[in-house]
Amino acid sequence: MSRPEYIEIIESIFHKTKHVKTDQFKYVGKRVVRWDAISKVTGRPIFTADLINLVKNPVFVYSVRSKYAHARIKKIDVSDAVRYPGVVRVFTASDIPGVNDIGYVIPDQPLIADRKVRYIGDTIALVVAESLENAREAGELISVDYEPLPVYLDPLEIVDFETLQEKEHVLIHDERGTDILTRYRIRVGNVEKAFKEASVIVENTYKTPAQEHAYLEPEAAIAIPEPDGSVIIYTKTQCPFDVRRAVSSVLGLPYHMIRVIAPALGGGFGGAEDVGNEIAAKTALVALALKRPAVIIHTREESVISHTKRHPMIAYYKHAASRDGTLLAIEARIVLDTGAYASLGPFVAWRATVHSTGPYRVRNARVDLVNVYTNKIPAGAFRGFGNPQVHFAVERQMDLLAEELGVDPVEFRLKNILRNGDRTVHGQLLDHGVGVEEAIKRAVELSNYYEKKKLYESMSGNIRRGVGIALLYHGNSIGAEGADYSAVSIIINRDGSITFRSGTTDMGQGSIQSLLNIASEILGVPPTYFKVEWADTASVPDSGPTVASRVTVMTGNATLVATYKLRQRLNILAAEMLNCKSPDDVVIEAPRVYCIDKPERYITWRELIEQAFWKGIPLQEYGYFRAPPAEWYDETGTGQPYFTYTFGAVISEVEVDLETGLVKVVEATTVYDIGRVINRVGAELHAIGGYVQGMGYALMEDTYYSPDGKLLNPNFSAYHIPTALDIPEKINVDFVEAGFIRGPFGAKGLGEPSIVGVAPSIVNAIAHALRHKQAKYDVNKIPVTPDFLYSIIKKYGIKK
Amino acid sequence: MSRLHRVKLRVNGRDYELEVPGCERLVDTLRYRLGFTGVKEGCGRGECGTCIVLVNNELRHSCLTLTARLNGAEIATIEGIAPPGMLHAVQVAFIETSGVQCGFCTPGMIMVAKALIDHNPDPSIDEIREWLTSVLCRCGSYSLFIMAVKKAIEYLKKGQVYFAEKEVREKLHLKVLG
Amino acid sequence: MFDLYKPTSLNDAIEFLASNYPDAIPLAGGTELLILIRDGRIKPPKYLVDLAPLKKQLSYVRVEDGYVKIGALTTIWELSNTILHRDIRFAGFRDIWHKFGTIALRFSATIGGNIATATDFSDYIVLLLAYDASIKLTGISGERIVPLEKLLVDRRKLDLKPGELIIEILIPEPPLNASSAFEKFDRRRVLIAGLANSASYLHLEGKKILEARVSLDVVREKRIPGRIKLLEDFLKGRELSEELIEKVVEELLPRIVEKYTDWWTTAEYRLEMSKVAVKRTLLTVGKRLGVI
Repeated sequence: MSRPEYIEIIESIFHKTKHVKTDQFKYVGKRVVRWDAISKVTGRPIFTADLINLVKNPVFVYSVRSKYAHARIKKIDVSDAVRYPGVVRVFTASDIPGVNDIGYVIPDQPLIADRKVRYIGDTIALVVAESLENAREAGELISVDYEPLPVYLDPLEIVDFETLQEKEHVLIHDERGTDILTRYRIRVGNVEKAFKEASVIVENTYKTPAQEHAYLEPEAAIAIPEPDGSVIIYTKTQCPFDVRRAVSSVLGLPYHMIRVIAPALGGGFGGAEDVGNEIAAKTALVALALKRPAVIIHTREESVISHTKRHPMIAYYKHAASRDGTLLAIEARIVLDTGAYASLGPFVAWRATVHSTGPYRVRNARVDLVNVYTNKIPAGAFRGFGNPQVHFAVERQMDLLAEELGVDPVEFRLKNILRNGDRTVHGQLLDHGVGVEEAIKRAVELSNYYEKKKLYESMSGNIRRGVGIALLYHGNSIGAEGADYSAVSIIINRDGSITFRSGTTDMGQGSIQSLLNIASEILGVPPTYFKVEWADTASVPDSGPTVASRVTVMTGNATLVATYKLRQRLNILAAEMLNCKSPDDVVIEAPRVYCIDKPERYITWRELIEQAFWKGIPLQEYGYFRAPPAEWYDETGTGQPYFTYTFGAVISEVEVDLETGLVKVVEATTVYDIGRVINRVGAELHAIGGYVQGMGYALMEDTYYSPDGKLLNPNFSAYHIPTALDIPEKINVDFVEAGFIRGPFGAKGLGEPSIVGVAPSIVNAIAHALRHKQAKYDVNKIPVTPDFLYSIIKKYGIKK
Repeated sequence: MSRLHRVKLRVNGRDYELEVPGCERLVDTLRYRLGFTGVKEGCGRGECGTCIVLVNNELRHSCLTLTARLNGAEIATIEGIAPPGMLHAVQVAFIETSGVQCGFCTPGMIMVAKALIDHNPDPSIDEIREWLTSVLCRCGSYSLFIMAVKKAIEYLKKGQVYFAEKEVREKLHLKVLG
Repeated sequence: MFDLYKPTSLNDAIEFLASNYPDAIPLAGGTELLILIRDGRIKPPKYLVDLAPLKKQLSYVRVEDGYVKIGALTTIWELSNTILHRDIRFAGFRDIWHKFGTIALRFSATIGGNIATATDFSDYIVLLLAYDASIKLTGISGERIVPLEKLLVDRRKLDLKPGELIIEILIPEPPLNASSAFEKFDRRRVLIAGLANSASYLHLEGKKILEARVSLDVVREKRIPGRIKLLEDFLKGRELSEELIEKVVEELLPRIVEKYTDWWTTAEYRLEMSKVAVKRTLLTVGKRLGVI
């Protein structure tokens, strides 16, 4: 079967460059000042809410939200609100022209609640007024006749933890007939036999919290009705084309009548994947109905309540190993809590299942995972997407097992990690690109792991130190979730400047810089030649959603393909113009273009482009890349779930105050195998920033609810994220480059992997600091808040 | 109910005469009346620091400041910490140390950095850290911002306070740093 | 929402506050009041009385007549440039500085405002109680001076007459060989409420404790700061040492202090941390006075 041209191009570049050391490239792997740095340090209006001064005569949309976490709606009376000064109109579910649904994966989430409400945050009406203040005040006057239903905040009220069977309860999603969203499993080998033969068995239950993205920019959307009945929507979103799809469904309009533009995002981390659909649909609905621009700007509290959280997890794990330190079998029962609506839940559940055994050779595995609804803020995408949860459990298990075996945690892992030529638990052959061993060795070296371990184990006093390691692997892009493709469009303008169009959004991750570095490297022009256009569905190709650590690989490949084709054409022309022996001899070091054996005789880039223009050689190119479809067999959890995996090793050193239970991270070391470093600044910032965010997850972040389902900490004083005083004194960062044949120059993604290993490494370090075998089992929950740790310290009498 | 207060403000070097209700917040005056959208609103409660501006050379959370109280005040936002067409050393340092990610905390962070250096031209790392706690950064760039402050201090020690934006663009925009 | 009234003088302010009571509330830094209004925790009043015109008059730190007198509108930032941050007798003020909000907030927040918020995490109240501070109030019925302890009625409730303003804090000037410490910690380093905030003040003669004052964010029942008198009485006259602190706090604190459980943490943990906080403040003062 013939392979697509784009695969040929990517693989040929990989083969040509796989022995080229990264420091030999001109732009790939270099520190390049990002394309938007100047506009960000000068405070230019690049975020959605900043654009409001460009619209005249807007109306403001305020979402009136449910006061009950679970109730049937008997009647909504908006008459008092309608009459309130400044109010233009009040919208309810019946005003939706198309489908009243914004569910990202399954249609389970009304845009405006009609029949029932399922969490305190469900929108029941939109008040549209001349000012936000008027709208809010009028919203108080809406009266709803609710019939309250039982509120379920604990997923174990929905499903039994032993059997994972649904329990009897008043269904939250009665229209689905069940509150089990999805189930996944892995059945490989024979776990029963393995457990019988095992010398050591470790079992424990683990819990992880609902983490809030806490990005600094609250969501905003501005919808502008066009004279031809179409609508332009500026909205905070990571996925402008998904917004278009969602709005099309809600309004009953074809795609081309909906233009979505994604400005810069002040942080996303997955939280802006589906909330963008919601606020875009709301503002577009209002704008088209009233023929005036419509604006939504969320307060911090509205932001926290309206966008999804990280899925909390409760997991039972049982690991078995032989006396010689070989991992024999893993059994796991995992419950994820998707809150009131599915959001990305089905995909999070799948990724969690796929990664549920960690980056190890596992011959026998039995994993059952279930994702259930509760009456809490919906859980959806958050950097890591199910992987941080399962890796927390797995990496704690590995440490406990190592202890039972009397083996050093690093040695135990080295014995069982995947290496080139191994198969994953799903049976996928990884014939190349597995850099975890090198990552471990590098991390151990950089962090001085063994010296510190020895030193800390001999410490006494009230302040204890510990060092811990965690490994990770993270499948790149969306795997079996759907069609995995990306595209870019590159236009070389007649004066030689270059317009770069892609549907990639920037939420700070800077992956667009990776694309520019790739394009620059292939074309031979400096990145300064490029201008990046905003992601605008009317004019950029659909690059797929900016999620799943996929941009560098998928959109990077698309960029590579586009520039490669352009380069080929330019090479042919330049060879003619310069009389080179062959087009392959053409060197482009813009502004100069010359034959490799005659550098003195050159033409300029502009001359080349002008000549191409006159000769009718196309100076635009559309680059497309499609990943080979993933394979996944639901019955067994086997196949080829992801086309490649990023690997990593994280080592954390902590200081534990036995008197208070307070934990401080003193130093951290992260080494990630990302195939090839394309954007060095971006990669380093991911390693550092991911560590800080993972540290918050490990030590201080959790969402709390009152018994009736109200979120108690929707602001920054009650939801703690790390400040400048909380960060470790030092974070060491390094990279391993076990290139992936189908990544641009061998590159793999880092967006999410950079958080996956952090919490387990910190908790492993905390357990190490305790130096008490039994107590270590109790450190099975994050966040390890001081009171939680203190209770363990006290229980086991761990003293100076 | 909405009595209007006459307020004279000098914002970023230019004089304005406004009439504002007593309850109007400075962040709204700056962003929506005067168009200085470099001032952000991340929380509205003085916790995130993205709304921080300088009022009479003192740091203020503009989300917790009432414009009507500021008659005669001199206000600087990110748009005005350097003369038109120029960048302040702190801004250049932020570019060169490459810590900026999503950019939402950046204006507030730069205001705080500038105020720190104006207050103490040679702060310790601990002092830098303590000042920078005024602004939350979820992207996690704190350590790079600390480096940026140190770099800005070097510039200021050499007497280099302002840089022409055009030259900075020439020298740095999309350039390889190493 | 609300209107702003700008008084022309202190008298004008107190007259306006009294005649418009309870529809007029004084506005100092705004770092607490504006948040309460924004969050809907208090109904927007008709007027906020802008105290900024009184700033010059009410911002000062003076030592006179055997007292350290602090103007109520002195900002936390301004406090850091006074004797309160330089003299070891007031070391606890420097401790609060490192924990009070963030630096940016300290330019706006005032010490009078912190007292007016009257909650368990009003850090200056905790410290000022250990200094036996009194508060000068003024209103249409004249001036009066009330011990801070008496002024605190309950959480967010001060014993103020309608329209009364806090204008000055008076601390009896501490003798030499006295110092203080303040302790506050939580899940992260700053922007915290505190698990158990404590302040200690000791006046020593050699190792002998001549005077001891210990305060906590919550002692029992009411969620406002208070002094732990039983502890103070026991310490007085004894010789300060690590062992004494350990013994006294471990034995006595649980008898007097009762904390509360909420969604953040448990009463038991808060009690344990109260012990730690009190021990640490006492130890720190001991170290500061060169005795430990």
